[in-house]
Amino acid sequence: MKSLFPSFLCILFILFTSCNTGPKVIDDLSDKSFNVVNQNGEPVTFPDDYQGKYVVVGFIYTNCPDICPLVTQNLIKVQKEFNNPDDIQFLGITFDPNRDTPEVLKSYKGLFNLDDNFDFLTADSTTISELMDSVRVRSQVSFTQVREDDKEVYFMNHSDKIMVLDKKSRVIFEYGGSMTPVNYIVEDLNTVRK
Amino acid sequence: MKTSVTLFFAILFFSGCGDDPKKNSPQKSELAKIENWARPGVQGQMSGAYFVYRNPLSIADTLISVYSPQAMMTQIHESYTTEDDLAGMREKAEIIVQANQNITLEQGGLHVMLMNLKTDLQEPDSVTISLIFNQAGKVDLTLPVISNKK
Repeated sequence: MKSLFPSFLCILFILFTSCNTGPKVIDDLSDKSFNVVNQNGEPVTFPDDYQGKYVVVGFIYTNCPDICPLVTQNLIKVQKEFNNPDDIQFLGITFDPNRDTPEVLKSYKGLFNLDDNFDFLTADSTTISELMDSVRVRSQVSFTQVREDDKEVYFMNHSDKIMVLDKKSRVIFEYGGSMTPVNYIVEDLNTVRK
Repeated sequence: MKTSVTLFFAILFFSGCGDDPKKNSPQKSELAKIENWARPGVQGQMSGAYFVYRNPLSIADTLISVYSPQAMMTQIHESYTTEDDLAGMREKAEIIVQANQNITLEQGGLHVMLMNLKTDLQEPDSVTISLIFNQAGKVDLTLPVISNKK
């Protein structure tokens, strides 16, 4: 019987360490730091400035007329479900920084009548590239068209993604950004906010 | 005995404690109720428009072009998923509509691309679109601008 006692302790240890009820950590961004700006041109350090809040992030470019607005709409729906909560920050981060300047993002935000805890972020191309790599968001120019005013406009293939960071800047949930039913995101957030 | 206990630990450790993986997978679109509408947009930028058109003819027809006076350039595009799982978009040169059948342009699928908007589009504006069919000729639609579409 004595010889089983260490084994019993070991079982208890495993039960308490491996079966915690929190979500799995997909990526830990707490050691990352990106200097970006929001739609007002105000400097933001991502994700550091949002530590202590849950962060729901979608990845978009504003010249995308179909999929990216769906991503943004899903973020808005989640925000409305929680009635603009103080402990959840909503972000749209562009992967097209050359065109998505703070001014453009401000106009884009204006289309959706969003409040203060919903920001759009951009930065220089190098920073955005590093940020997108760290969250495994891919994008590439798919095709270019010449408009009637002889200006070229390009379109992009891109990851379709929404993710949730916990209060320690760890990615705990990822979703198909335009396709996931909003109630999945809401349920997951409700689970971790308890 | 020791082996059994070790096996028991291993089973405990590797089973049972994970989240339901399907919850984080991309799911079927919760596409909104179909209706005719256009997205808000900023002058010089893009918007999208969506509608359902029923071919009233007893023969198939083909949508060959689209035009809007509110955009510098108007095209039919299609959202799709690329082989490497990226969200992409491509131009559709034409769309065939069978006799007495509908074509549906909806979020995440076929849509009208309004490029380089001449003015801002916002509620309660509307967008005029002309559809050019091989058989039916020109069909005009007026679509309300709706933000935060359900």
